[in-house]
Amino acid sequence: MDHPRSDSESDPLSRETAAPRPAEEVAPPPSAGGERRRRSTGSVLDLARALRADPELRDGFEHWRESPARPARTVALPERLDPRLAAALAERGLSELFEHQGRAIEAALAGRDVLVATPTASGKTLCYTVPLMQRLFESGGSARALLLFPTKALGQDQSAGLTELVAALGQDWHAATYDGDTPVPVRRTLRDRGHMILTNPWMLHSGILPNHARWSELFRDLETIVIDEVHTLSGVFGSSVANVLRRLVRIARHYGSEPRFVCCSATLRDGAEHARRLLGREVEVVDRDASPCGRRLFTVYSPPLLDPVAGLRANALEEARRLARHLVGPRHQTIFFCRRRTAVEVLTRYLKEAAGDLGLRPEEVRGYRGGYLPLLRREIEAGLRSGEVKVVVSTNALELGIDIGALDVAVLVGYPGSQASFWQRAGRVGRRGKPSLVVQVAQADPVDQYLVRHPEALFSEPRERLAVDPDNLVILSEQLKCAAFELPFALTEGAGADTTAADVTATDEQPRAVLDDVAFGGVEHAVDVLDYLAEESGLLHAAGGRWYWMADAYPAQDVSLEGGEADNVVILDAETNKAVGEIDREGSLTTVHEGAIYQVEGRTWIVERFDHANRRATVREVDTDYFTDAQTETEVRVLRLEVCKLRCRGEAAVEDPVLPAPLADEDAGGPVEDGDPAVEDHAVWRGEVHVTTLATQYKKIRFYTRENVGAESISLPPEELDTEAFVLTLSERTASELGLHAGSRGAGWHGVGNLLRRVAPLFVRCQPSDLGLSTQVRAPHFKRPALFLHDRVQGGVGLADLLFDAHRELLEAALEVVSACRCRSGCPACVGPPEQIGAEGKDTARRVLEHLARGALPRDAEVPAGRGEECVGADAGGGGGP
Amino acid sequence: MRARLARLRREGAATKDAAATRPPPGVPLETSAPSTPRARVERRSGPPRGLCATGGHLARLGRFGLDHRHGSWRLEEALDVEPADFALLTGDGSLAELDLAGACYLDTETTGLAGGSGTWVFMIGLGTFAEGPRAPGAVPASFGVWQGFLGDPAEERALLAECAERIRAHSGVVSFFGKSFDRHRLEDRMRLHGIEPPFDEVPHLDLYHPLRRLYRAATDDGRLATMESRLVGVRRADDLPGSFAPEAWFDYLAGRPHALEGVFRHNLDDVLSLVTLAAHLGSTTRERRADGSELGEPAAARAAGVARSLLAAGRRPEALVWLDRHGERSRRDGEAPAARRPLEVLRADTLRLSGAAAEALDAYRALLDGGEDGFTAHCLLQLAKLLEHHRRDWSAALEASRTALALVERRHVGGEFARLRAEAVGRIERLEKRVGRDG
Repeated sequence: MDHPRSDSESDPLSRETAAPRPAEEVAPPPSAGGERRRRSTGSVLDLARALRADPELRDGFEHWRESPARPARTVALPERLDPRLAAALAERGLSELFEHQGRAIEAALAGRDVLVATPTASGKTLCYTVPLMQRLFESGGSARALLLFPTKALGQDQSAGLTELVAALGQDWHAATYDGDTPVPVRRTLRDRGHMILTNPWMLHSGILPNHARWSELFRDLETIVIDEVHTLSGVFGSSVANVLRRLVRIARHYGSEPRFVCCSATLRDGAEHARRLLGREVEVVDRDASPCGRRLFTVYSPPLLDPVAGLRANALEEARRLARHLVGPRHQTIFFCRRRTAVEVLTRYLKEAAGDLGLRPEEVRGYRGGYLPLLRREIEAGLRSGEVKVVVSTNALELGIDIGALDVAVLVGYPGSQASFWQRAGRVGRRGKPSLVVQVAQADPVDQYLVRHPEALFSEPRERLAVDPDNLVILSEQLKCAAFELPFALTEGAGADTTAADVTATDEQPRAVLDDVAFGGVEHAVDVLDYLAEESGLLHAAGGRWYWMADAYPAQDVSLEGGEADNVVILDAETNKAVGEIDREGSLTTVHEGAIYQVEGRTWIVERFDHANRRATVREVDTDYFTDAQTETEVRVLRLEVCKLRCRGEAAVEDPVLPAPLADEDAGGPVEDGDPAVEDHAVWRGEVHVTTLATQYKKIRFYTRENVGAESISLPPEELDTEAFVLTLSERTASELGLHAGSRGAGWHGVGNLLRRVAPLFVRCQPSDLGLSTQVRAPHFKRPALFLHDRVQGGVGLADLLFDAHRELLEAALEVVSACRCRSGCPACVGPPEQIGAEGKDTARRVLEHLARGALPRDAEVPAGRGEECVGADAGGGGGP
Repeated sequence: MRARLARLRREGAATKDAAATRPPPGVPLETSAPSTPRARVERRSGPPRGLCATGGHLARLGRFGLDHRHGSWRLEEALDVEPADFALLTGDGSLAELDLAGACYLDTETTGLAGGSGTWVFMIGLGTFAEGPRAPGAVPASFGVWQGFLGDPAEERALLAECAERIRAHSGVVSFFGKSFDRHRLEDRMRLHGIEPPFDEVPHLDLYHPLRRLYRAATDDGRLATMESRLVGVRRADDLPGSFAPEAWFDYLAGRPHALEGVFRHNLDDVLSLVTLAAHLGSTTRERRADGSELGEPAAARAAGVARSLLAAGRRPEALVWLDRHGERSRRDGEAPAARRPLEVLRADTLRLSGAAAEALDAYRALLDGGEDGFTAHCLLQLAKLLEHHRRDWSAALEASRTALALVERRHVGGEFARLRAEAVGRIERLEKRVGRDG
């Protein structure tokens, strides 16, 4: 893929005005006093000009881009709308709709499932409120709806909006939030009389569905299910929610309703596919945004390189503070997005202290994050809407649809981790008819640095693939417990009666039993899991082709939507006996082993005892001058390879590569002939792996000097994980040619892995921490160099699949990063520090990537027989080899 | 896939059903079952004895003479009670006319206390003096118990339909903690099968709350087992703890030897205890059983409970009578003065609110040397109020207020501290002005 650089041609300022102002006028502000008055003139465009003119900053702006103002495309209100609804809309200035709203509303009213995937502030709310109200009119107030929001705050916000609209319509319909804050006496009324119930996935999972009988009134008349922000539903959480939705659909069916879905989302790469995995059905995708947009300037700012050899850059937060000198003022509203809560507090404090110099009063600068009390948050939101608050510093808490009105300038301190988040944040600015400015401040991170050089990646079509795998066995079996508690399962009538003659291979097996279930009926392993829950766990009673819940338990209480929670290790302070933190199972090995220094925001505790069996670590607060760094050994064993793509050395000319012979051949030890077009160059795989992580020892490292002051061994049982992995292998010959076998250069192979893992979020929606990495210069299974990126969730949630699909893009991006990085021999912003990857690691990694990211793409190949599945025991069956 | 399931099985075996061993959330009913050794639980194979199959479900029927003794009470004692007591002691006016002869006595066995629509009700005990509403004046002849049993999950609908119909045929429901638990479990399962639950149509006397209010102080807890043994003399032999019930049913369904016989007996005993406990509760204010004998202990606790109920109903003069009784009885019982204080303060407050200023003054004065606690501070302040408004003795009122403030500041007495302190400070300020103006 060739990315055109677009710096000069899209420079908005060069075309801006006939009479550019002299630079002196926009010199950095000197002192306070008349600062407020002085700063009270000029537009957002002047701010941009000032930035470009500041000699201290201007070199950091790597890229400018402008999107011109765009008029709205509108359509008339649908004729079907009740005149009262049309009048109420007109009264709010909505006598016509944007085109995409019109389409979505028509589709929803026609009873189709819809996904609206358009940017923030494009009026998505209307896409479901109008159909809901219209259906209430048409049904005489009987149609009911369930609305799911990813946060409580969003639900409460939307509930107020719906209530207002109902009041304007003069109807006695009720919209109410049902969440942990809902008082018990209100709940009953809500269950019996709420027309529109606004809740969240957790409440649906553990409160509503397990008590469906109490909600029977709602389920009987449930017509519409609205899901907002569906782009947030990915990974373990999304896969769990997909199952919660299956449960919802089957409960609704039990009470006689067939609800339709209206989903809203940020712009998605493949909305239809995402919806298919999430909902298990085809939806109509509406994704052509027709809302108007003011002129918008984008710029990417890269902090100056302080130490080119080590690749050290100035701190992004400090840089944000320097940029603030130009970007805040009394005339416009600015929002800063930080990645961490502490960063929010630090920057808020900086800006409040400097308020006078910036022409502001300290109270015009506010922080905003989760953890603030609701009342305080409402106050800040109102201040933003009214314009009293001029500057807000926020985490992603203000990213999702809370109504704060449109602001003028957004500063993103660090890339938010996904394109969708970037646009959600950028979407916070831009008032009708007024220009706005978005500044992305890059951090010292491979993804950020990639975007500095390829800003077009931000503006192109959505790239990221969303991982959703509702059939992950672990998630599925947990969710089937909850589902069986809610209603028994049954097999289809007469299952097993007719065997298709064509299915010759299955003659000695029972024909597949299929569940008679609207939602789980098509799930491949549902019957096996139910059998397992009945026979092994004893949670279900199987009789007469049915499975009944048969345990003294409330399963939803113990099933987390995020996964793994039950396994978390609680970190307890020995003195106060209070929890100071929590850590997941895998992380516990390296973080809370005995002797570890546990750190939170500068405070340090030493781990006195780690009760591995009871998931509890006891710590004592200490003053130390060192921290600990634990080392682990990760062993990845291939269980089964499912898919393979292969490139041959003679590439390009070969139309149809024969099966990867070398794989089979090398076992025999036979040398391969040079130049044979069928000789393998490299291959990529997707398969199941078993990962064993063992903590071996830890080093004590002095703060600041990083001097090693001792090492001790760790004795903890290994962590085991069965999951899916993406694997990259090089043939021995290619590896030799690339110098991987020379001296210590093998460590460079790990550098390649580091980088691939770090750039993965560019193409797959995940955090680098969702992926485990293991590299081997001679992997036992392949007998050649192999690099494994595995999904860190038990059973996998589809990340390996997506990495396999996107692997070439990953390699290309990785090559870009390593080529452009100005460090000498590796740094955290590219392949990793030289201590980890060796002095020649960066050079080796670059050579490997140059080789892999260029030339022909690998093609589909068969997984060699006997290589596919390793025999994992007598009960494994099905693939013991020839 | 098979391999993955096999691995899943291995995984699962390790964490096998942590859920099932989790203690249920705080339901105060039989949660802390004594750890009866398994060996003591009688198990047998095959279906429970004496079941009859009618209308698509199973049930066991039992019949008892009116003079059947359950503990030290006879069932027929429930036929001679004061229903007004039910209204008074529950605060639920709809129970003022409750006819215990026409009511049904409900107790269920479920697969857990955690709730949720997936909790099965596998046994429903319903006792009744009459099949259907009683004709006025008609005298019942016996007491029958129907124990509906879910022998097959597929029969649930039929069982619940029968249950709903039976409840609907009665003029009231008597249960123990049933308003909070049994009712909801039944309603959930009925709604799930599209059966209209009957509970909104009939008055429901839940014995748990009034008995707890009356006797909690004198007993260890509010459990049924405690109440029946303390109040109506029931001693169960070899009772199967309620917490064993789910397992017994699971065993039965899985074809293993099971302890269902014990569950049937336990459920039957519960139903019979409902009758005698209802009889006991309906005898509260007259304090005599149907045969004229005394209701018995714990009489002091009862007096306090009745007084509180009367106060809640706004019946102060009667409440004062019961407060005096409480005083006599607790002194007779040799109760420690500290334990008597709350009710004595309540009596003084009641006197003051009834307008008996002089008596209230004496009562508060008598309470002042009970120790440096919140009660003393409260009494001092009430005293100050009476001295100010009735005696018009401002300097004495001021002194009492100052003593109260000093006490409150010396001892941070409970959560009441802030309120008492504010009250003292306000009163002192006002009194100081008055004293200054007059003096």
